[in-house]
Amino acid sequence: MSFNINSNRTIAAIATSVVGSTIGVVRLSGKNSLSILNSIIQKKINKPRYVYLRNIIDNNEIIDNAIVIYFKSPWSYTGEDMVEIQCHGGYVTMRRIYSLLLKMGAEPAQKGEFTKRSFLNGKIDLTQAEAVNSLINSSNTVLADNSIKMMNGIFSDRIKDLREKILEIIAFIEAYIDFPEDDVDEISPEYLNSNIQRLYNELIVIKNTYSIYKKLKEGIKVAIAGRPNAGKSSLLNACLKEEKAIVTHIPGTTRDVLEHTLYINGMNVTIYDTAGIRSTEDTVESIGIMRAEKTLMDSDIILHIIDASVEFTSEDKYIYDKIKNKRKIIILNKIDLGKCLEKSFFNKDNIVEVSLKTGEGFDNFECLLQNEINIENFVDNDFDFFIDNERYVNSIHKVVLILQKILDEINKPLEYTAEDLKDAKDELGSIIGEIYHDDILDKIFSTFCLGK
Amino acid sequence: MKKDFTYDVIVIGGGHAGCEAAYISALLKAKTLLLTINLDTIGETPCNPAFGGAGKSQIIREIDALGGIMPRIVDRSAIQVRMLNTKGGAAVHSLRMQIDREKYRYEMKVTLEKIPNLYVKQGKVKNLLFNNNELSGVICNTGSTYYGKKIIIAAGTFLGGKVILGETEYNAGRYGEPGSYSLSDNLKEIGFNTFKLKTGTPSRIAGNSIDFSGLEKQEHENIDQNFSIWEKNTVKNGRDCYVVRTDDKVHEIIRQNIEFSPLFKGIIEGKGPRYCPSIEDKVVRFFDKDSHKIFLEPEGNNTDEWYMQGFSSSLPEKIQNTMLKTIKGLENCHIFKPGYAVEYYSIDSTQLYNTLESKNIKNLYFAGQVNGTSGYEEAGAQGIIAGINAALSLKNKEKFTLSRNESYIGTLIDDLILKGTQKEPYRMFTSRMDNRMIARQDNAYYRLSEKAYLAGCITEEQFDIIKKKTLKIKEVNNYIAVNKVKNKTFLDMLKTQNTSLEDFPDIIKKFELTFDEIITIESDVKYAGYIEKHNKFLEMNKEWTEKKIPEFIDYFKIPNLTIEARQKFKEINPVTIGEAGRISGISSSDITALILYIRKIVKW
Repeated sequence: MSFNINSNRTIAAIATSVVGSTIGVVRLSGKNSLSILNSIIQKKINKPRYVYLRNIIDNNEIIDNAIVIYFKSPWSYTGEDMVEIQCHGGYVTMRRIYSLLLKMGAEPAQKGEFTKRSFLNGKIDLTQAEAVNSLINSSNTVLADNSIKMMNGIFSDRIKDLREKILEIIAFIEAYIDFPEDDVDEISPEYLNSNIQRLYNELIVIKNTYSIYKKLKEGIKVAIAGRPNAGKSSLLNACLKEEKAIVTHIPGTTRDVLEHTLYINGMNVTIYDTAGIRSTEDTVESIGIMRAEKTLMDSDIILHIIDASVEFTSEDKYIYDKIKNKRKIIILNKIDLGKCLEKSFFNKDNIVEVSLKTGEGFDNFECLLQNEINIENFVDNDFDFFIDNERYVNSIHKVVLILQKILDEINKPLEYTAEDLKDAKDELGSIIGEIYHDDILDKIFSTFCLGK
Repeated sequence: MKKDFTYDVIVIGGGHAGCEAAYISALLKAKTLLLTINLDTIGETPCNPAFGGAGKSQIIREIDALGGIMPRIVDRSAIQVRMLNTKGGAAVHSLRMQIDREKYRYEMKVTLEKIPNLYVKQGKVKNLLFNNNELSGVICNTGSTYYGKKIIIAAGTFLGGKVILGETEYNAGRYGEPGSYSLSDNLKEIGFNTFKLKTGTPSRIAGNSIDFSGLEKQEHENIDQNFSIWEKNTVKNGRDCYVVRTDDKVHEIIRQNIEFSPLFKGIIEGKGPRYCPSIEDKVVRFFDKDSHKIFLEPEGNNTDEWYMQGFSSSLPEKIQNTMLKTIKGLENCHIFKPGYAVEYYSIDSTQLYNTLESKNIKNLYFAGQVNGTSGYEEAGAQGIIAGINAALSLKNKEKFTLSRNESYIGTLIDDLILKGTQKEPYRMFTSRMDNRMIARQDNAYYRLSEKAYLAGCITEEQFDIIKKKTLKIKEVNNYIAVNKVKNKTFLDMLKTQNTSLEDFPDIIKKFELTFDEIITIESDVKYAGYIEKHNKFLEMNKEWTEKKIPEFIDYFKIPNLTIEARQKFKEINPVTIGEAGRISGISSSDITALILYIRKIVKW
């Protein structure tokens, strides 16, 4: 049995959301917190409870400029030595700092481990720990729906089922080893191979559902595309119902990508306003256009806005062709100026006519957008749940590696395979917090007729 | 006069636990009395005439490393030697020997008779004697009183023993031998929890009535292997075993006569072992299996009795007879002794410390089947631990215990004191080990001999032999790590799957390596990754597992501890946090609650 509270481990975690915040916090707890921190900053610190501004350095390269604070045991949240790094927000920066900490010897914190350590060190009692837990588990509706399923055991049942299947193989091997003269069939590499391959495939499918969670956490990317002055910024403003982008009538005003996060259908939706795409001599603008095209390609939904009061131009067509294979809504804008382009011009697409100036047709657009923002539109998996915790991914990944190793060495003597499978079984057990050792014999005797 | 009735250690029972306990206790210079109901059944092997096999050969080698007697007696009385599980690596290799029952008894008896400080006596203990609430001796049913400072109970299946055969049941310790009833009541009176267990044995049949022609043979292997490293024995004219199979005819007879089975009628209440089911149990539970394997094993060279491994039964003799005669080769067989079931009382082994001393009654030890185990080897293992501890404690020496990680014996005792045997009689399996790649039959001496030497169980000369072997292995390890063949060190060569040390005869010759030394060196290389991982895991948890739980702790005062955990902790009274964590049904959150509480009340 592992108690997992070995204070020799220094743990690290990203403490704040990686989306929608300009500042993020990465934390360390454990004996080596300070030395790990000092190994990634330019000028070492040692005073507890002082605020320092430091460059975070990875391979002589500054990766962020952050506020760092050292808390000395026992005067910290966990009761251990702790370090808090207040860095710039966003997935990339926080992830880089976090990875750097791991590289310097920190280990990924398990879910709730800071709170657990706090509890173990007598800083908070169990009910407080639970309260912290429910507090940090607040989520959007899709995540919440999934959490309820997870709460009801949909995931742990699957893990238990997989563990049971591993147990069956172990029992088979152990029966063969412990009852060498009984009627236990010899275990063929084919038997092992097919059974373990099946488990392997199943685990990969579960592991991949994490991408759904990530998608939900990161949010849906919606990009507004259109030639200059088609009304992109007006569309964004209409969506945000506030004036964030500067709306002018001079083509090419939005020279970079603006982004804003909205909350639609229980999901985070980031809307990107891109520079108008056209051929230009202006270097600044052409960089903007390149970025705009990349943003379009990376986005999940494109709102292609077209000025319907004039003809379909070659610039419109350029964009139209470029995003041919993307999920999109075509918005025919400026219908208050008279329709020169009809819906029927584009036969099959999601298409809506609006006047952003008068607001006419905007309701229809919102309807279409809401239909598009559906998680099932963005993930390949046919899933009944998705895993929502990196710890599960890590554990499943470990099991996958173990199974891969067994598959690679399928002809090794069986005690190796048994040992590896026991590790896999325990790793699955650790996901749901149950590790047994008595179960192997029970399985052997319920499956095989053995003994003198 | 009183001197003749006063001893340091009294061992009750002359079976495998009792012999081992008495032998080692006397060796450790304690004046030891071995009391047995019948002098002529000392070292009796009432079930199959074999020692070793998977999970058990490892125990015997460990007993040998600790200086015990069983391994020598097995070697001396062996009539067939086989190495099982050779398709796997050394972690599962298991030496197994068929023995001559009569020779085993004889060798054990005459050996014990000659041991200084050891006094063997025939006598049946009626009850334990206390003086001012302190254990002081035993009273026998002859009226004699024997005084002793330490008492080891190794009563086997004799406590409240009952033999059951068909519809007949009568009090007996074994077939044809009286049981022990007043001692059993006495133990209950003085506060031991007891419960009923069941075991069984098959019929013995006459060899001259078996038609061996056409039966599958299981031959003696001509391998140079002994259980004991301390003396050399060789099996001459090894004997063969045979395999017969049941078929639907036997199964049909069982199905038709199941009403006569005491097991299914509910006459037998005790729980029997799942790994040793009776033939009727096999047929009923595994009804879709159309045949069961039975081994015919000779019981000795001077007897024509054959043991039928796999055919244990408590059906009436008449039905056993009918069944046997449908089996190919046994059409004309004569039954010497029908199979039967034995029901007996075991004490709850969770009432013991890992020295096998009772937690409630000081100076009282329990070893063997009375603790709910099954098997000669398991009994011997407990006997030696109880014997060593009883003798050492006389001189107030440090207790002698083995850990799960270093030994099968440690695992056995740890399971006994923390999990108990109420579910079924406990037998050792290699799969019970946390890591069988570390504790193997080939390396028992390197794991345990130093401890044994320090405790006084083996002599300086014996320990020198082991030290020399250890040194030699070290030299070889250094040699193979440095020396190369074709740009690759021998060590790296050995790491690959199909390379063996035997592929380099020059090394074997240079260092004069024995078969077992070769296995040890090779296995440590091949299992290195696994061994390292396991040791790392232990190291990581050490901080907690070895912490002692204060004796005055009140489990019912611990907040956040489940009711179940409180009850289990109170019942089993674990000594360390590690022990607490290994109790079945205890979760890691129970352990954290326990740790937290202890941290509050004492300075750790």
